[in-house]
Amino acid sequence: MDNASAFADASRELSLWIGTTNTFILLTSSLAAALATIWSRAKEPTKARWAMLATAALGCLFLALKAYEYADEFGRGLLPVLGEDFAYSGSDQQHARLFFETYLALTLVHALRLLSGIVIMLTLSAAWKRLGQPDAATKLAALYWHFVDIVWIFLFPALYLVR
Amino acid sequence: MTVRTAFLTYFALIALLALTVGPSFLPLGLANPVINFGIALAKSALVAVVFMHLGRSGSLLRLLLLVTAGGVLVLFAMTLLDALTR
Repeated sequence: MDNASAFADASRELSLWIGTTNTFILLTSSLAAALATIWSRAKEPTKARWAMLATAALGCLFLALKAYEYADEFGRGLLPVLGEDFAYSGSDQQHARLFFETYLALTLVHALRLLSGIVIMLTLSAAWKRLGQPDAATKLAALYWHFVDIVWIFLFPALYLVR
Repeated sequence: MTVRTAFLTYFALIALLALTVGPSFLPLGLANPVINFGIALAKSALVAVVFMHLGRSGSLLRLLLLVTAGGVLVLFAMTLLDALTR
């Protein structure tokens, strides 16, 4: 069996529903971040801060779903971590393991990026009154958030849609 | 960017998401990855141009992005060359 079909077989073990829902959540959070930029420029701090809190909340929802997905995959012995046995039932164990290692590395780094985005959004929203130029800070935070979103836009087809 | 354009962009992004998940259930062979990554490119372009204000940025910034994208393409091409010419 060649690498491509081994990767496609391994990809089918991931939950397409959770992946799709998470993409939807992250796109929605990008809308909230864009609204925060618009409202902070329009000098509407209450709306802008609520939009930032919504962005952070959607980010947390993404991480919660991702954690649930990891737990499910770990329970089925698919995640090669913590010295756990790799219990993949497909035919090409070696390449499937490579897929799950890649999957784990890519999504874990993405989760860390998202976590720092959440911290940035919460901090800016809480420290709004002490910020000299809250609209400039919001714009930068939103730029970072959109970048994290774009990374996921490419991770989603690369990991979940290989069928 | 106005609230209206932000929402319109968002609806376009959701429509593209539906367009990319749907065909992944059909066995289209080589067309599947082409569709998936084509739509990923379209989605990221929407986010970059509207949400990240690239549409209203100066030409220096756009040139910088173009050069960076070119550099990334070279890295991907070198990786693929190894796999394709074995």
